[in-house]
Amino acid sequence: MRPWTKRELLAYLDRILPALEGLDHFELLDVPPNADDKTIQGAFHNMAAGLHPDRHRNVLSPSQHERLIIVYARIAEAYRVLRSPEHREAYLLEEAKRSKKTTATIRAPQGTSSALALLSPKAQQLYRRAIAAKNTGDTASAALNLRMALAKHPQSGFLKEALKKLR
Amino acid sequence: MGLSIGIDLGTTNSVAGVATPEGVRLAADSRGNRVHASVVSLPAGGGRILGNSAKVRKATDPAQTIYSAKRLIGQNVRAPLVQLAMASLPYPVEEGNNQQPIIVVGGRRMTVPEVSAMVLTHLRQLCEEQFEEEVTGAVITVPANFSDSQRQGTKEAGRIAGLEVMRLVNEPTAAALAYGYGRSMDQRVAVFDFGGGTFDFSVLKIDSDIFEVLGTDGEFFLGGDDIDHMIAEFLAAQMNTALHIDPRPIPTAMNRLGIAAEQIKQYLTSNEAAGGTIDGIVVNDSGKSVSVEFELSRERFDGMIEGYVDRTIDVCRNVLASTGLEVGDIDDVIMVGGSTRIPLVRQRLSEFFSKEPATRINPDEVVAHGAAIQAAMLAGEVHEGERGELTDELAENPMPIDMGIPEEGEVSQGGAALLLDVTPATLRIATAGGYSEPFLEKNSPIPIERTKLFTTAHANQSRVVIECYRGPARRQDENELLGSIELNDIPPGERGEAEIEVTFRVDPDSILHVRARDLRSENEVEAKLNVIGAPVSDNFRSTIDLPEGLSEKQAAKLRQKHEKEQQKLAQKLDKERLKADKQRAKAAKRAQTGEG
Repeated sequence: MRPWTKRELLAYLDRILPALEGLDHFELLDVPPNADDKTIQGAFHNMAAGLHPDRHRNVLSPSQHERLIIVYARIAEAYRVLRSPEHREAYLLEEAKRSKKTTATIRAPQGTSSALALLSPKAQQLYRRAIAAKNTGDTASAALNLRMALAKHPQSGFLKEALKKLR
Repeated sequence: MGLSIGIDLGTTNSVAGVATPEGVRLAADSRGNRVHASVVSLPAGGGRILGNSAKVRKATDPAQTIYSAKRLIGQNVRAPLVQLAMASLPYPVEEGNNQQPIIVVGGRRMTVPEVSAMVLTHLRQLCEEQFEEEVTGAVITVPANFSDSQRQGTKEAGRIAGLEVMRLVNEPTAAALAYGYGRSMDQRVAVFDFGGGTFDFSVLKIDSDIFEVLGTDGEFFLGGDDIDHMIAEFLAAQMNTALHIDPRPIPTAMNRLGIAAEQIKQYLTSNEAAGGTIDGIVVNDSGKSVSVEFELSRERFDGMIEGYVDRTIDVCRNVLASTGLEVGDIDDVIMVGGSTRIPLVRQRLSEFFSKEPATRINPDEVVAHGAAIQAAMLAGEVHEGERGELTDELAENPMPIDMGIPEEGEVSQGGAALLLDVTPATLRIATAGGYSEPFLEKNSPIPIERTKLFTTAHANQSRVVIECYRGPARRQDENELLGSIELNDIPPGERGEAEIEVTFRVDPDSILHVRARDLRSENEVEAKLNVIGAPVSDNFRSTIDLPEGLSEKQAAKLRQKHEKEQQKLAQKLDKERLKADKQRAKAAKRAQTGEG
């Protein structure tokens, strides 16, 4: 696995930082909610290989590096929770309680908007087109748009899940 | 830009080196030794003698010669185990500010980081002379189970020595890096690190360039020093029987016996029995000295240290269990530290793992190798080259390393290895009724940040004190108190109405930072914990730097305010000290009854 380039890294930080508070652990690690242990470990290793702060110490400015550490520390926390069946169960219970509390005031299901925010603007546009196509019953066009978005984010569990639902 | 070096700052010995395109090169002293005694001697006539030249002065000038400072760094001078360690040191240690140990030599009072900084400066100078370049940055290794204050003390020592401490790396992790670096292996390895002062055990998964620590644990005050001490006690008993002189209350005599003990231990590594006469044991103020005869068989020696070796194997068993692995899952066992040369240790280790440990690695140098590689990677120095074997003959053939090739201008330092380390102990937060709950369990990946919501225990509670502990127990007082932060001015409300968001952040050096925020008032405090025994920070400055251009009145006001703050802080720390003392006393009692 190669480390991300500076451009990739900064684009990722710009996308993820505003959305950070709303992301759940699955979105942070970019894995589907039913991911097994192996997938979770693989996802963490992939992300660590790409964006671990130690690999970008000299490329980023101190403030950029500090931001990267913040994001990485959250990803590490997501990994800590999801890799342990016990923590994962407790976390899901807590999330379920929280979403019950918040559905009354927030219309959009939690997580969707933030996972979307993680994608690049182009991919977001493709996703919206896919949803529009799906709503008009044009599943072929919807699938095409989703696949194009996936080509930009091959690791996105969010897009994979959307494609699966379409079928 | 200057050189970035790796330093294994050991209890007994230290090693420093640099990763070059041709391989890791270790700094040697004028006699060609690559392993340097962590000893500082300050002769009465002035000046400073360091490293291996200072080691011989342990016998000739014991009161002015400081060794094993690492055992005291970041420690609370009142902790029972520290008191015990101090009893066997010939130089006086006093209590300083914040209960930190102060070493007194020749009327000069020094903090422990100041002493360790002298050792670091020595290593730095050796590197600068040998590699003909200024040293600016360093990766320093620490025992995996070092606590926050010990880590802070080590960083402080580096800073005093004029080094940018790029990272503190856990010793077993550094050893695994040196072992697996550039060999594109897919293995699970165990690192058994039994040094002069501490014991650590880590299990890692090496997946080509990713080194992930799966589990780690260790024991402080379990090392070669303790074995030496045990032999010295044995010699003292023999002396008492033969000559009716008890040397135990005489520091200089015990020091002489300690030096002999180390030699006997080393002799027994390759011989079945040791015997002879120890001369020059000074037994009174007039300088009168005596000789004592001794006889120690390997069998008897093995019997003496069996308890220690059992403890190390227990740690191995626990770490394996915590990672869900079995002995058969371990592909290789790496031995680190001089104490792994003891035949009984090797025997028990190979019995436990049902395989011979890797002996081709030099147990004294492997940690410094790893530190040097990590330093080069953090500095972004990318080298090409073939990797050789890491053997005892390393000096003649320094290990070439392959640091990978950057793809283009903007690519970060890559292709190089990546260390994914973990927390060595569970970090906890105090809850009501003398209990605590885990916040980040041991073996959590670092750096990590976790946030959790808490609430108040009483109605209209206006302040909360967040106490942080380190250890495995539910009961607060069975853990080590790390420190506390305080959140004030919480708006009044029903019990359970307040929402306090607490964040634990463990940084890449494995140091804990705690933040608390009241969600309703948006009050926020972020603090490094006030750790008892830690080297005192700026908090304790008795004077204050005032901005320029103030009137007398304004200045006086600021000074007064500063004094008040200092008093408050001191009172708070006193309270915490009292609490910590009580806890330590309890813990010591438990330890005694548990072991007895």
